[in-house]
Amino acid sequence: MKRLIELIMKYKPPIILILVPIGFTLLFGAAMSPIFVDDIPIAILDLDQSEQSREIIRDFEACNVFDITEYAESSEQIKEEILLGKIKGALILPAGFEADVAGRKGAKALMLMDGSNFLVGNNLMLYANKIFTAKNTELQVADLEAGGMLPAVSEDAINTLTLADRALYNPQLGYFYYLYPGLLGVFVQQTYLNVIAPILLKEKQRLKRMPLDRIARKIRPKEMAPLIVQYAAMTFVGALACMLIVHGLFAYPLNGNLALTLLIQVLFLAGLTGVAFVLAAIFDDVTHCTQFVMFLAIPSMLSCGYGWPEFMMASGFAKVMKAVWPLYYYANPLKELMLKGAGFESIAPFIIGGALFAAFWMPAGMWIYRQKIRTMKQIEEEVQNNIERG
Amino acid sequence: MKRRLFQFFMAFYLYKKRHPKRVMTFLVFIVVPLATGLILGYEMSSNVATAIPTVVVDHDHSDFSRSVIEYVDQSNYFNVVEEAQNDERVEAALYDRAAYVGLIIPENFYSDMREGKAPKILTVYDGSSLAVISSSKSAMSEILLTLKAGYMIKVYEGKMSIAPASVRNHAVPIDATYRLLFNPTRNFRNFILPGMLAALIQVGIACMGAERASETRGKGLAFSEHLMIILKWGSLGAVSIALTLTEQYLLFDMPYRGTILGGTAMTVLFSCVVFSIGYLAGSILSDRMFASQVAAVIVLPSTILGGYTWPVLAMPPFFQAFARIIPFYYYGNTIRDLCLKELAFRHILPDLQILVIFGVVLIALLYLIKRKEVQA
Repeated sequence: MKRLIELIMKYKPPIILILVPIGFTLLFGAAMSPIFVDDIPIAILDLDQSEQSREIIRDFEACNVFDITEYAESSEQIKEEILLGKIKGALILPAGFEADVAGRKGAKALMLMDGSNFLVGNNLMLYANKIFTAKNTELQVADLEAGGMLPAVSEDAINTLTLADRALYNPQLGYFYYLYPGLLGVFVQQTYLNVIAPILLKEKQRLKRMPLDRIARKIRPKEMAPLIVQYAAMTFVGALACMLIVHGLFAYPLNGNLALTLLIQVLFLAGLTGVAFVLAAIFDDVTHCTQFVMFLAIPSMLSCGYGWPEFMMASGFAKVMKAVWPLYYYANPLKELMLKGAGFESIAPFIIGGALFAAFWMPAGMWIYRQKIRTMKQIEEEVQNNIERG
Repeated sequence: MKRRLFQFFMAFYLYKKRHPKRVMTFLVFIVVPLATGLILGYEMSSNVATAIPTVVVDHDHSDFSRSVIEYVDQSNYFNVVEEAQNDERVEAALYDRAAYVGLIIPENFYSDMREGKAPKILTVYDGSSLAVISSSKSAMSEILLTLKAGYMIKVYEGKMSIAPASVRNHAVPIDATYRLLFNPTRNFRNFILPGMLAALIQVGIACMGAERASETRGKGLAFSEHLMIILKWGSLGAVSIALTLTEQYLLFDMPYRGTILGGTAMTVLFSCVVFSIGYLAGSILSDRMFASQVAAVIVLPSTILGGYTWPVLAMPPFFQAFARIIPFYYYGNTIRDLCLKELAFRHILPDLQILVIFGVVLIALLYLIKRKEVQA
């Protein structure tokens, strides 16, 4: 165990930058590899106990999405089971259902869905709707034919005004397909900041020990530049490996241009380096800085326009978000590249924005970093003077 | 002015230097969670996807097709941003993110409809934006179902000579009602934020656990003192979660419908369990920073692996079993349920019991580690 920890500590940057994203990719890819949410537990409350109601129930049983785990006795029981989380929905067929269907008296059916998780609730609704639409179609055809309409004509009448839908870029509406570029963006962000910010903090400690007048001259981290480039290259290797893994193992489309992928990543890392300078300026303790970085994964993912698109954001939010955090310029175009095979023109706004972000935050971050060191030095000298003056 | 600013920084810097633990605790448990709650709550102010940019192609140019487009445009969900001339433009608009939904009405749509030739309206969605699709698909279906019901009523009235009073029952023989319980408007903020904010705070709780363990390392504390640390800091973590949820409740109308006592017990237990995980990591690993990183890496993926968004029931069997050893699996969904559902104490009792088991197991492990430490 001790030797393993020593080994990890020795190769910590490549482990964090390459192996951690790969590990999470495998983990999340495998967990979300089924494309559909199937076998959702539901209950049935059949108050009619007729051939017609049993036919509807058989349709539900035959559908993979539903897993009928219970035949309830009352609606109270259903409510309780939903609150306990044992079932996610229920079909209630009232007494007189068959008679109402046969007499065309407006037969009712009620499908309850636990809407606390959309993915579950929407799936239940979608497939229950399909079953009832099919059943209604069957009954309408019978009606129209009984009224003297030819079978082909009646079917056409019923199929009028129906929707044919098509989803582009993610035809099966797979959740992992949708989520992965955003996740990869967060992996890159977290791992890179976790490695770079501590390096800048250590440099800050070294610079702080120098006399005040030499700080301005020595601040440019020439010794650090090759190290940062080396780690940025490792990040790219890690991200590329992740993309190949999701493509190979989880059939994730890789439609985009590699050069464009590299370009958005370079700009993202440049922007993140600027941010890392700011973080290293704010914090004085490496561990505290690392802890803060860990906090950034969830808020940055939820606010970068990935899950909640820009047009849906509250007024003024997108402008501020784009000005202070660079994930927007990476996660969104990465999705466009991977899923849509977007070209330069399509992702140009992200490239320009990412370049402007980096162009501003790299020098601004370095300036803040330098100012912080100077201020720290001045404070410590003043404290020293105060002590000497007694 | 410059001097004053300098003195302010100096006071803050020296305070931070003297009391790093106090400052970090305030940052981790108060500033970051409340600021994040404020930012995300404001971001998602519209709650649901509305005014989805939509591009339409009307090949029919009839009064009816225009009324369909108007109907779609007037719905809260859609905003027709472009009336394109050809189908290719729909794909191009989705490709360029100018629109997320496309609606294509075919040529001779109205005349075909009158002749009963079953023309179809084609809807095209950008599959890469699931948050938009989940709202737009159901909204578009509802619009078309309403139009279709009207059409079928006319068919029955005209061709079957059925009395107007009963024509609807023929047009819709089984009137299925779909009731989305607890979050009927598909409010995205209420769906995502309760658990995600708790997931964020659990990272801080775990890091704090690792940090406190590093501080106490080698100090020869009695085991009861370790337990007191867990209880004290676990309770602080719970206060942080409670404050963040209260902020959502007060500022963003997030509901809280469940038992307050149960929610409090659940939150304190969860927080103590997560703190113990961090405390164990900090007790095993001597490097303070590495211990924090390990503690955070252990709890961070639990947001996904605990099935908060992608449900555990849809995961492969191995991950379904794995989720059961993740504390967030029990807490994340339950805290959202407590917000959205009228849960009583008995409904969350099974989850509470499991969190107690987690706590006991973690404390037993800690006891073994600390005993070894004392022996060494």
